[in-house]
Order: sequence, then structure tokens, then C-alpha cells
Amino acid sequence: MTYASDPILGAMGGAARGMEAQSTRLRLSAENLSNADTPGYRRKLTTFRVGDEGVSTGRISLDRTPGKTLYDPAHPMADASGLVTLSNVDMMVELADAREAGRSYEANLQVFSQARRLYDGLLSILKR
Amino acid sequence: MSVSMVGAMSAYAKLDSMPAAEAAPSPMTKTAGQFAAIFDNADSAVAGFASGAVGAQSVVEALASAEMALQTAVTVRDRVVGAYQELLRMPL
Repeated sequence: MTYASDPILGAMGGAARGMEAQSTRLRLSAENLSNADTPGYRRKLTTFRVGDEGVSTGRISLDRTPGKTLYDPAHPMADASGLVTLSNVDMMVELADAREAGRSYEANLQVFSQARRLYDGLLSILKR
Repeated sequence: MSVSMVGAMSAYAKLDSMPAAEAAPSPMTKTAGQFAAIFDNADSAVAGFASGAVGAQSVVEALASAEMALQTAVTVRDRVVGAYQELLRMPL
């Protein structure tokens, strides 16, 4: 739904797409954090691309960095040499990602409400 | 802007697509069609959100643009009616 004719509606549309993308990013951070202790888990990544109105998220891919290995022959998921591969989730990185996603979301929200305020101010010229 | 008001507005906007208007296309009917499309969009966004298909941001954006379109239409109508009333008040 592109309202490219009116710039203020276009600004609101771009801000809404930005909020959608940042909330997707936040969801992936939450999923990664909740699976931080799952052995063999690969953290999910997504890329942002330029969409037809604002931003759009690309395909969700997996981070291929190998996770830390732990020597534990008694673990049910241990391989032949007794090593268990843990997840490659780093809590600091995920928390920083989540915080960044929140800041970007708030910035887009500011743009959205400012566009509405500008439009209301414009209409108030006509209202007596 | 509540959900029931959005339904009422889209039903009202559908009145613009009357057969008589389609017979004689003019800039006014084109504007009325675009106006109705904004409320149809808001309607479908609310329905999509209820079924979980559409995210919350799209619903808020659709409702906000519908509210802005309604306010614009009301304000313009008020000005047009006010100008007409001023004309009527002119002494003969």
C-alpha cells in the first residue's frame, strides 16, 4: 500500500515499514537469546534491504560461526570424540542487538507521530 | 478511531461508487474512488490483524491514514458549506 502521492503519508508508510523491520530484528534476538544454551543451535540473522516504501527484511539465514565445543562424553549429543557443540549465541551481542533494535524502533515511532502532528497542524489552518 | 467507526466509514464511502457516477467519469469521481480505497484498506488491515495475517504496525498506519483522510474531508466540507452560507447571506 504505497501512498507515494502525499509525502506525509509516504513518511508514515516508511516509518511503519521501519518499525516492522525492527520488530522482526527484535524477535530474532529474543529467539536467539532463549536458545543460548541449546546445543547445536545456530543464531538467526536477517538482512535489511531497500523495499518499495522504506525498508524490508530479507531471508532469515543462520550464522555459520562454529559454536564452542565442550568435552563431555556423558552428554547424549556428544560425538565420537566426546565433544558437544554448544550454540554460537553470545549474550552480549544479542542484548546489544536487541537494544539497537529498540532504539531504531523508537526513532521510527517518533517520525510516525511527527508526520501525524505536521498533518494535523496543516489541517488546523483550515479549521477556524 | 474505533473498529466500528472504520466499518461505518467504509460503508459510507461505498456510497460514492454509485452507477450514476461511473457513467460520467470526472475528477470528482476519481477522488471519491481513491477516498473509498483508503477506508477499504483500513477495513482489510483490521480484519487481517484479527486473523493474525498482518502486523500491528500496518494496522496503525492504515487507521491513522484513514483518520487523516476523514479529517481532511470533514474540514474541506466545512469550508465549502461555510462559503456557501456566506454567499446566501449576501443582500440582494
